[in-house]
Amino acid sequence: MQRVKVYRLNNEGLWDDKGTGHVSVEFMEQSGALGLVVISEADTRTLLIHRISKHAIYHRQGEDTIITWSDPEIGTDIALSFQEAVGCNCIWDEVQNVQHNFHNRHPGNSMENGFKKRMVDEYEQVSAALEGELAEGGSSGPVELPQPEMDQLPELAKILSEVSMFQRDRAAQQMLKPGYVRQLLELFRTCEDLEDAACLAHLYTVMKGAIMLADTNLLELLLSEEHVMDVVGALEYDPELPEHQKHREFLRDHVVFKEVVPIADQAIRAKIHQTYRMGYVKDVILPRVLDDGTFAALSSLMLFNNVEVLMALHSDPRFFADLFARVKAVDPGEPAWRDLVAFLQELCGLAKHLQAGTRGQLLQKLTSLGLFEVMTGVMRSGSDDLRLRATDVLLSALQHDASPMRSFALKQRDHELMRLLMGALLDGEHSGLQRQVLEMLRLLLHPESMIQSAEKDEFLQMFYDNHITQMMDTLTKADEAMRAGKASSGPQPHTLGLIVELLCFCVQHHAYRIKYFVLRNNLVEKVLKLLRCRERWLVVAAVRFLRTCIGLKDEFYHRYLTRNSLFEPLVKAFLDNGERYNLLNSAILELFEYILRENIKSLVVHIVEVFYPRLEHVEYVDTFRSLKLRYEQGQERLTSHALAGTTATSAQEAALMRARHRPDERALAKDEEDYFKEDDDDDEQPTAGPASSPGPAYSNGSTPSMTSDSGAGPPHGGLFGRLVDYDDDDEDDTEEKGPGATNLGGGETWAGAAGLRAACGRNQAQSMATTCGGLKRGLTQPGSPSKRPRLREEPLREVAMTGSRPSANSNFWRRS
Amino acid sequence: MSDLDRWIEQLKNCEPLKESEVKVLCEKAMEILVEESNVQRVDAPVTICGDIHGQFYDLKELFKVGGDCPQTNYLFMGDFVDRGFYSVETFLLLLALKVRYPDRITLIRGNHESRQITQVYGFYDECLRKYGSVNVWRYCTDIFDYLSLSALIDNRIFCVHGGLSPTITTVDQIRTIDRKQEVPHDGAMCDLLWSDPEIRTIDRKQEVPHDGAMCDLLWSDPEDIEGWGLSPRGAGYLFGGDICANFNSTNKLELICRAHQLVMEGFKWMFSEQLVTVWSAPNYCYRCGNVAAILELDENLSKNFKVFEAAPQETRGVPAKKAAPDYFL
Repeated sequence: MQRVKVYRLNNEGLWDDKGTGHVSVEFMEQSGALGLVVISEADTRTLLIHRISKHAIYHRQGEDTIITWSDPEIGTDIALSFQEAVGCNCIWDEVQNVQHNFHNRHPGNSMENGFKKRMVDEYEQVSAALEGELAEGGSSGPVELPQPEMDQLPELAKILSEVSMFQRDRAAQQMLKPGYVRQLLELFRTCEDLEDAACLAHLYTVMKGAIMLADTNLLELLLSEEHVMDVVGALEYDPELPEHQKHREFLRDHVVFKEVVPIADQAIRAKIHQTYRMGYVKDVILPRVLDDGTFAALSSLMLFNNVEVLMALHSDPRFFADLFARVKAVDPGEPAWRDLVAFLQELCGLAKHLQAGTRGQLLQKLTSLGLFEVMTGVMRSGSDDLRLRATDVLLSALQHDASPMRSFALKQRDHELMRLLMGALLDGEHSGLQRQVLEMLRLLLHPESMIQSAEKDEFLQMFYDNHITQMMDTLTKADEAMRAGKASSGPQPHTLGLIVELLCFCVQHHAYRIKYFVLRNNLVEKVLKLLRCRERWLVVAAVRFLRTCIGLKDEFYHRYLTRNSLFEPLVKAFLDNGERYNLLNSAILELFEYILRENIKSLVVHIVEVFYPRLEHVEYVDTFRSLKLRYEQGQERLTSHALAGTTATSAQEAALMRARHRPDERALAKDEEDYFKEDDDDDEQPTAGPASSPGPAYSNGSTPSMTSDSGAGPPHGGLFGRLVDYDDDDEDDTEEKGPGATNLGGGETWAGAAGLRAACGRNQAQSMATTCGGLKRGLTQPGSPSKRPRLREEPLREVAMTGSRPSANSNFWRRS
Repeated sequence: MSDLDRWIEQLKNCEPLKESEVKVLCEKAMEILVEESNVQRVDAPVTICGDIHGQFYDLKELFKVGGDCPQTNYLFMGDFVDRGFYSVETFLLLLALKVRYPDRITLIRGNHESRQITQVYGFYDECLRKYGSVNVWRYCTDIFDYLSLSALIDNRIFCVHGGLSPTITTVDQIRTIDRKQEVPHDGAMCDLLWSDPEIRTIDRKQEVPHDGAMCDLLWSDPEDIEGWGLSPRGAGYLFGGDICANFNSTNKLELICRAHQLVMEGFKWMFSEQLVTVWSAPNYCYRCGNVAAILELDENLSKNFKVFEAAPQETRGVPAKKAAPDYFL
């Protein structure tokens, strides 16, 4: 950190000293850009935030110890005077680097690309034009504000309501002259005493105009402890509203500042009050009239205030210890307990605006003081409302880093927190809470965020050993209730929907564990039982689960599905629905279209051979005719290659395949492997495929060894055997890391799967970038909701990782 | 009076429902919407409305101009939420009407009916502020996934929020989209919700070169740029008059009716009256100064636009947003 003095050029052309502090180049999450940040050494205030722009010109001055530039956001020149030339060089180089990177970033760069790809809504399309108009229409000439006196009020109101974008800065400077604002507010009190409606209306316009100048210093002054009540008072007299507003009364008498732990520092308390009032002015008094610039100025002030408050509490050695001591001293159920939890919720919500490093430290501090124990307590015995708040707190922690909570959950006796979460997910009547818990479980179970393989192994092991079964049991219960004709006494449909959603997630993200689980428990069949339930949306959810399995393009699932005749209930549901064009019809057609489009040969063969007679009358779409055609092309190809009598498989690869299979199924598997060897590319050229026949055992759709009732006992032979052939080392390397892991079933689609995964990664990255790019107000979005996706580089890294996976995968092949 | 009727009365007064009531309403709505088609068939007479964007009092103005539901049969082309201050009340009122009169009001999805977009443009924050938790946002965004993607009036008029997609040449192709998902970033479903029609004309102000292609361009008449173009929105496409004409003739349509773009006069014809944009949020964002329109179709599909302005200030409720009564930080 380099020690600097910050100077700002004032109207007289002189440099104002704004304080001394330490400067660093930081990634500013809110604007997604790098910037210079100066933190005061006296009181950790933020002295300067400057987004490094590619257009700005930075100068060196003095004896290489000064950097200056003209700052468009602040509206004047800024200078940093460094204590040492070394420090100056260092920051200078970093700034140059950032600017250099702007210029060199080629269009393929995913981050830049992501921002280009941001979605723009209709308002933004026109607002640029509106702003332009505003700028053109307004005068850029000098502006002189009259003295704040009674007879000048109409003039002052007129000037302030007509001030142009270019005049704002100048007008603000004049209002900032010592005594001006005070005099204005004294005038307001006089007018209010006199009940002079005309003057009060003018004062409303003046005050609104003053705020709309969007000048940070002026806003701070207007909303300071000393002036805020009078300013709000003047804003009560909006002549357009039918009745007088009672904002002061609300702020004075109705709002409660709850201080769960005493905050000693008066300045910090003042900041907290000021922030609330800013929010009140922004969201309650003036939302209708604020333009984007003022909205942004107010939001950023609130943001900086919040960050300052959090930093102050963070550096207070006693505050959090005190907080947790209180939390632990209070009995659950007492009102104070509710306030403490609500405080933590607000704290964690605001912590999202801290820079990642600081946020991490803060969360670490909370964790070490027992955050997770406390939240376990809330989940155990809190009311619905409190449990909802607890999930908010935990989500904040998880979104920053899921590892601490994972290791906590692992070490906890009886895995209580996990049990409570699963309990809330499965028997909750409170569907809002259930959704929150689902969100948490997704974060906890997301393999991309598990960096250490030990953590991954243990955590997933725990989930698959102890918890996933509960979800399946709930499905079974639902099925039993349905069969008994008492579906309403079974689990809530909503709960079943969430279970299916989480199972979809597992299929997409967990490779061998979920496969093993699916196979051992015939999970797909259990989910597909929902096809019979009354709630049509749940029927569609079951179809989606099947679609998710197919979407992996993993031959393992294809074989499992065909052998267990799992298309049977789907086709039945489809035919039962008739020609009704509803969501179920569309979802099932999409599934068949997907198989057709991706040319998943084993499924094409299965569907046509087993179901075509029942589906051929469906003529309102081409789907089934096309499937039949595709099937026939495949058959032709087989015939022609049987004549040629060669396969494209290299001997080495074939040996590898065989080595991976148990003898009892080798012959069959070999046929399949060969058949699927050459995929996709040769669709147009039916003569280019390998030769062999799918064989009758394969197409009749079911294998006795894998019936639904095999339950917990390990099924013998078949695919299961192959799954457990691997030693653990291999799995450590490949589980959840990419397409290699999805290949245990032995399919040749790994390249395709890699592409799919890479595509998923990209989409994710893009969606993150889009969301963040869409945060129109950029840096100034303190209202950022707690569950909003955060702007982070991770998704981009995911892409990079996905890109590098095939090599890891080929390693895997060699080792096995 | 049933719960539903009571809720409708309450919502018409701009009073939001309780969280538990929202949940019940959404469950009922889900059962109805799941039975609807991706291309929902609608019979004339019907009144077509564009973006509303949470401008509740302007929606009431719309009903004043167009008649109440169910007396008038309505089709709303999406973008119920975001930007305005009353997204919750607006969407819930429309949804309650849908549940009460499923055959008299059709709601199709706009690009703002999305988890991602609502987190940026206001609906998420509004739910959080009005209910203190995100539950209501979750209920509503779950419903968004079930909303139909388009509508077809008497087989002649195709209605969609955004526009056309290069992957869709026939209306039937829309059938095989599984719409129950967050609006994707590309593909047919995304395009239907995000695309815009575009007329781009050659800029005559450029300096005139002496010869060559540029010269020819400059002296030929300005005309529509044809085909597909990249959208400046970052999602969906721009499509020209030829694309629109082809789609209409392939599908034997006379008109595409869509919303999605602010038009200052409330409606705007394009491509020789083969496409019309309808916009129903007057004084958009409370400061754009535009008027709004709805399109009335009688049983013979004769068209009548009704233009209206923002609700007068005194009919609007005063409390724009409520502040939390207590705070910790």
